[in-house]
Amino acid sequence: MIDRVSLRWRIPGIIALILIGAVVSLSILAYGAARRSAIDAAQDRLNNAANRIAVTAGTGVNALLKTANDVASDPAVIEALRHTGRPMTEGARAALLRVRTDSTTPLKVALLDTLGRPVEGVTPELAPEGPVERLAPVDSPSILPFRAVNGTLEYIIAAPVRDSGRVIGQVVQFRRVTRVTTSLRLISDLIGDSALLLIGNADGTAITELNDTLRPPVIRDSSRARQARLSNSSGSAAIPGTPWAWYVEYPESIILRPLRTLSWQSVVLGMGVLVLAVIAGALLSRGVTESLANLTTTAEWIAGGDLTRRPAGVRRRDEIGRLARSFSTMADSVRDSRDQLERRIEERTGDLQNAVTQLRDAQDELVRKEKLATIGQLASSVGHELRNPLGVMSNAAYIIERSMATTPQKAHEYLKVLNAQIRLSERIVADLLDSARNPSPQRRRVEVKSLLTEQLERVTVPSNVRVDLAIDPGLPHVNVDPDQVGQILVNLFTNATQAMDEQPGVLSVSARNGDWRVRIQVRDTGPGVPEDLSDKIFEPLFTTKARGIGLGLSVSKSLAMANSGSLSVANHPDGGAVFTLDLPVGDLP
Amino acid sequence: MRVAVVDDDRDMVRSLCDILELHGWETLTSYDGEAAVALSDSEDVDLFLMDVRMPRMNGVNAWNAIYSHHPEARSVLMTAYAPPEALALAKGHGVVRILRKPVVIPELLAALESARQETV
Repeated sequence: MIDRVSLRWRIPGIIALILIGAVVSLSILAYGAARRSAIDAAQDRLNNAANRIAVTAGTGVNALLKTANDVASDPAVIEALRHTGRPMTEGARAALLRVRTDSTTPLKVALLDTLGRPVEGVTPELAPEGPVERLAPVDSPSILPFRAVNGTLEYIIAAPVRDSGRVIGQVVQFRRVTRVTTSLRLISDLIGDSALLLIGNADGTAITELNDTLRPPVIRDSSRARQARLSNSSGSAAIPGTPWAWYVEYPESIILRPLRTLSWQSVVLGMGVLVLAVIAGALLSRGVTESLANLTTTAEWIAGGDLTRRPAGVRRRDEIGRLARSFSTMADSVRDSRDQLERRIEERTGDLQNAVTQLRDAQDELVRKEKLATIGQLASSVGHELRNPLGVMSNAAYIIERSMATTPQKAHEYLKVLNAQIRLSERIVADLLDSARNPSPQRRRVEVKSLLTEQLERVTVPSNVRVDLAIDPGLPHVNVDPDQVGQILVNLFTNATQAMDEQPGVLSVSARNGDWRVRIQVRDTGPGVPEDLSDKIFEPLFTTKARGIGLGLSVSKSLAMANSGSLSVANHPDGGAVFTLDLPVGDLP
Repeated sequence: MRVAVVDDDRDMVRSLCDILELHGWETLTSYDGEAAVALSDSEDVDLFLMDVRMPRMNGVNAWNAIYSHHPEARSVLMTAYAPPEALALAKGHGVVRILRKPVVIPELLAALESARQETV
């Protein structure tokens, strides 16, 4: 889920970042270039404007110089300098007053001799601002650079006075820069009202603004001028025939205003494009990620076992369509393989079931045969066993019949034999019945000692076999079926007696208290049980005896277990077999 | 004529001896095959009435051992089952007859009588 979201937004995010980078860097480059060209263009226009007004101004200046030269050439003026020390004539004064034009009136007009001393007799009308300083003589009519005087800009126009080619003095006019309405109008017409018109020396000193027509011009110092140039574009043009120059300045903010507007429009446009690009990217990536999500979901379904699922978009002509088609093909082949596998499994299962059925039939057949064999073995065994006592009984009956009249003693003897053989036959039959049905024990508290002695009495022990009975005093009662346990004991006693094979021996019977058990052990002094047969002798139909059907120990073990006891056999280290019968105590705490 | 009665069932041996004595036979007893072989060497026995199934040595083996030393002796074997091969084996080996158990006394007496005639 996280992957899908991140991929969904990662693509548009990357697109947006790339676009932002491109737009920003292009904007910076374009703005720089546009700004430079705009400023250059402005510079050109400003220079052009400055030149235009410089030409105009030059015309005015030439007129002023011509007037000054005319005055200097006046005979009255020459006459006045020829005779220094004399008061100025009326003619000379009138000539000097001609320098006053309509528009510009000099502050002072003076006549200086070659040493720069002013000629006496200048009326206050001509020199309202007081005395005139000395000036070096000039060779031709000249305009001197501006000077800053009391916050205003002053300049001097000097024209040499010649007498027969020799310079004998000069006419000087002291003038102050005032309004330049014509130039301002011209500038305004040329480049608009925002332009600043400045005038000053061509070397950049003593520049003043001329825009404010109401106030007197303010001198700009050089640092202010520099500062102004930082934020303003400026053009300049030397005024011909003067050491002056026009300066035209224009605020960059105004020059660059259209550019800035364009920039803002570009930014807005760029943002719009960006948003569109992000949306387009999101849509595109959704197309991809949704297909991928669909593929993933389908894959999960298929992995979950639903092999009928197929991804969407198999008809697409792009890579996703290809992916979906190959995925679909893969799912088909997986389904086919699975179906094939299932069919094979079914076939094999069928075969297996058949085999199992056949096997079961064969097994049943075997079991049936085994049962028949067992029954046959049992029948043969029992039949064989019964033949002996029957033969003896038959013999006994023959002898009794023959000897009853003559030797009744013998007949009597054989009646006993007959009796014993009948009991033997009964036991064989009883064993057979016991092995066939094992009745559930009728358990009760039984005293061990009486149980043992009663059963010992039932067994015919040969006279050369000594019976050794050892019973612990204070033995608890046992909780057993006395008849069944009695049968076990008779079996064990009989076996022990037979094992000793009519040789002299000892039948040891002991009863001891154990761990919630009473342990009865029956030991004989016979040959013992071979090691490899100690388990086998408890199996039904197993016998080591020439006579016997092999059911006694098997039945005994079953009976012991039915009474919550156990029966086992071992060989005594001193010889002979020891059968151990453990019985549960009846006196529960 | 002396007849040895060989069987591991003592009651059987005793009752057979009593019956044979009633009919004038002198009897000897033995309770397994080995004892019978020993008896044939220590006593002069004309006839052996022997059970086939016995501990230590069965009746057929015991009889073969006896017959190899005493070819003049004859025997009557008793068995619960009389397999044909046992009969075939006994042919020409001094076995007069094989009786099925339980033995029918007239048959037993007849067999012993024919054995007596063979040994004479």
